[in-house]
Amino acid sequence: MQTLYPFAGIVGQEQMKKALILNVINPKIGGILIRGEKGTAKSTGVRALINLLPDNKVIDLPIGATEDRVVGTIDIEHALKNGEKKFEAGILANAHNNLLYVDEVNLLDDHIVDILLDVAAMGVNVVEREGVSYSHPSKFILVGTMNPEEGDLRPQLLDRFGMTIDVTGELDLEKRVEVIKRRLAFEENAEEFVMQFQEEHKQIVAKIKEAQQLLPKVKVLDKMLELTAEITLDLGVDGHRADITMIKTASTIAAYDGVDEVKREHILEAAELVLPHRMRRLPFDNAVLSATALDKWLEEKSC
Amino acid sequence: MSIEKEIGHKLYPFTAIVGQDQVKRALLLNVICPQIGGVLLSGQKGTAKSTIVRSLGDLLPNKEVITLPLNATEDRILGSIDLEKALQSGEQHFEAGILAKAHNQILYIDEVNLLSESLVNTILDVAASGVNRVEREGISHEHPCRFILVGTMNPEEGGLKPQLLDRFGFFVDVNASDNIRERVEIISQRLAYEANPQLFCKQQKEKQEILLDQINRAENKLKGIDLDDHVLQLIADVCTKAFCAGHRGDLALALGTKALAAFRNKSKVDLKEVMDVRDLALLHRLRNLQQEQQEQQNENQQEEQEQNNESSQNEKKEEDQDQKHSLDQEMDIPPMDFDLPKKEEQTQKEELFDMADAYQIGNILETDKDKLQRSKGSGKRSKTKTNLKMGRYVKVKHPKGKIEDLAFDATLRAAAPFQKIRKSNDLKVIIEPSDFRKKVREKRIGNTILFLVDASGSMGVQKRMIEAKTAVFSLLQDAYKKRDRVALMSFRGEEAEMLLPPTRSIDLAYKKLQDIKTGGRTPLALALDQMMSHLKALGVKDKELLPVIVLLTDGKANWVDGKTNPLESAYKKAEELSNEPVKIVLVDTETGFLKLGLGSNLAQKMEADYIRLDQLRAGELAQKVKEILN
Repeated sequence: MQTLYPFAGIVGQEQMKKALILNVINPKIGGILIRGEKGTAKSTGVRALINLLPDNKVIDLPIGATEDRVVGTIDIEHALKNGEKKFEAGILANAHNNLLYVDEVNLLDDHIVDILLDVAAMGVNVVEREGVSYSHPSKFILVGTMNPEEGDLRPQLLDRFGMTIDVTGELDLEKRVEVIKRRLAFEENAEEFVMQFQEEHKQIVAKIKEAQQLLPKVKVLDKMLELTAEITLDLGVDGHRADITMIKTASTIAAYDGVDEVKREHILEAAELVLPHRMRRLPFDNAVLSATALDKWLEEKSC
Repeated sequence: MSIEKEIGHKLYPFTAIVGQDQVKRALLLNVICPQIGGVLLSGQKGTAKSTIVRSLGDLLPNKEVITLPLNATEDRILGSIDLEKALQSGEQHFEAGILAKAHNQILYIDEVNLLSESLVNTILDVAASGVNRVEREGISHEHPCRFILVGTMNPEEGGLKPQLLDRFGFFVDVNASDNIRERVEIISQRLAYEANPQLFCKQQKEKQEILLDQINRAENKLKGIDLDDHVLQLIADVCTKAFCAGHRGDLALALGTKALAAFRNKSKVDLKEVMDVRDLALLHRLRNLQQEQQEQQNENQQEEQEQNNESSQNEKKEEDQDQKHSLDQEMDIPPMDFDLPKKEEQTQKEELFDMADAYQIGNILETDKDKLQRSKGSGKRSKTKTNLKMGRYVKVKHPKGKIEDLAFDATLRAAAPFQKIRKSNDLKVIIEPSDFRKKVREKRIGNTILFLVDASGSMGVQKRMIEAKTAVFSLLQDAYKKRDRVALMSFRGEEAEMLLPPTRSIDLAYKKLQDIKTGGRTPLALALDQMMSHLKALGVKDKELLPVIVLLTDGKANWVDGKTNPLESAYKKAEELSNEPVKIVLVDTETGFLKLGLGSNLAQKMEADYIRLDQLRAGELAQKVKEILN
């Protein structure tokens, strides 16, 4: 197997790394959408996650995938040879209990998106096509990456991602140099490179384990629920999924920080991850502005 | 047995759902009286639509929720030939489909607006007749098929046709709660459930049983419920005043009131029941006629459009609101819902209006059909049969000529009965050309809207650019739901330049259109020529996108390559364009008192729709473009 770039070896991109780790600690957050330009370590980050998830796999959903391969279909060979119908599992079957990764998710064919929405909502893939009738559980952490310049994602699908983050290329010169150096070192001798980050890797894994153990004990006071509802209501976020995801995320952040109670700052940090893609956009608005809306809200409240 | 039960998954209990009283009521009344004709739940994402439906199946011991997935093909919905039996014995037997499974159960279609329209039609036909008649693939079979149809949809993703809407007995507009207390309650209940589903469900058990008893009692009581003439008259009156076309609304309302009276353990239907069920039965039907009126208005407007550009959308809205307002007054009965306080009643009304707006997604940019005969699409930005090997596989047909996109399952079914008489080789199944079936696929198509903007140094160039940009952004905002792409090309000096290639991305448009250079002469003929070649390239790349051109110019062409007259060259190009299968809207940007009217000449030459920019308010262009193309 090809050696993967180690998660600990990624330079900068702290927010992305933290968001990914939060999803590993608590898969119930519901996945993550990473938006950003080409070459900002989006895919590297997602793929490096595999090493942090010992029991799960990353299943790719390529954008050219056809419907029959996604949901599964009749096994043609079996039918011809034996004259019997048999279900041939598709990508959604493999994705069960794993991480489903869609690179360039905004370029996915419309009807594949519809199906993905359907299955993500139910946690079950019901197949009724091409003569076969079959259903199997299909629960997965949905991880997508996209370059917003290539088109938007439908709001319904956006809402299925627990959180979104926007990544940009590193602007700091020293860090840029470090990015190049590490990449070159990795390409020269991948195994040695991975060894170098072994210690850091172990630390991250240990921290994730601790957080996972603490998570069920994290308390959420009613006051924090009220704060959450107030934020989503005032910012005009559709539906209730955002509220619930915000609390889950805030609890996970608290656990990651080693605290057993959700505090105001956890809620606010969670809001930044959970809300931007769920707020209605206005013309001349770009994605970053949504975060400013949160700041504005905070300012108004503190006055 | 549902898959949830199989994998030991505890569903969120029905009685623990916070709020959403209308949804619960609509569903329960259908359970008590399935003749009501089903429910369509329409609402934003994340409003527990699916959760409620599934929990209902869990509540009722004798009912299951049969899910019709979006990937369903026609053969699996209706049922088809039993393949294995046919292969083994050569006999033709019926293999039941989803509709057979749904008999006496709840048939649930999530995102029904995304399902193929022809499939929705088929299902609604069966629902109405109570019988599924299958005549396909050598099979002739029928079986009783009565079910409670429950559909959900998010109007952001596109609407359902009024004809289809009308066939759902009840309709609920589902909204998220805007009450902080309730929102907090929703979060904490959900978290409690996720922390320990077993315990959570146990705590609700008693409530669930009480509700179930109430439902059972109501089912038994239903037949004896009295619906006296006085109430029947009231129902008919309500429906007439609500401008309901047809009688489906009356019937759904009458049945619904009976079921509600039974649920409330009353012996007869009172005014209160009529009021409580009214919204469920009439909301989606009330809208029909208004929409039709609006469509008609639109048509009329299009005819008068040249004289009458001032008539604004707002006026129309006011008219409609007046109409709705007077509806309640005329009816001389208490408003909407007894239980609701005044304030909520008002918001409900407003939302109704928003919804009506949302439904217009259905009658979107319809391009002139005569001009577009070349294109395979109907011109509507909805789902269209496609010949490309893309899109959703919905059904099959006999192929003509070369076989592409073979529907293997259907081919196999066609071959199956003959296997006994065909000579066998090492394969079990022998397929002959007469068995071949081809997939019929559907794909949503959109328009490419290309703005061609005169950026030359004439008067009002800044206003022109701002208007065009605003329109681009406004159209792009809807782009994801309408599958449209928007492009912008500008021309000035001696060149025409594609500034924004066709895109659905607001981000990209934002970047590319930040600074647009202006000034210089007007190379109109060149611009038209280049635009045509761009369109041709586009046509090759994506055959099923219908191009719409919005040309902003005053028509004062003053530059052309070579020695010909710039204006004449432009007119010549314009005439050529009139033969192309594109829709053109010419926005005349000429200002000032002295007008040369070159723009309108140009519009005539290219057979374009014609608007004057100085008669539009700022930012109105996108709206106008949408209207004209409707």
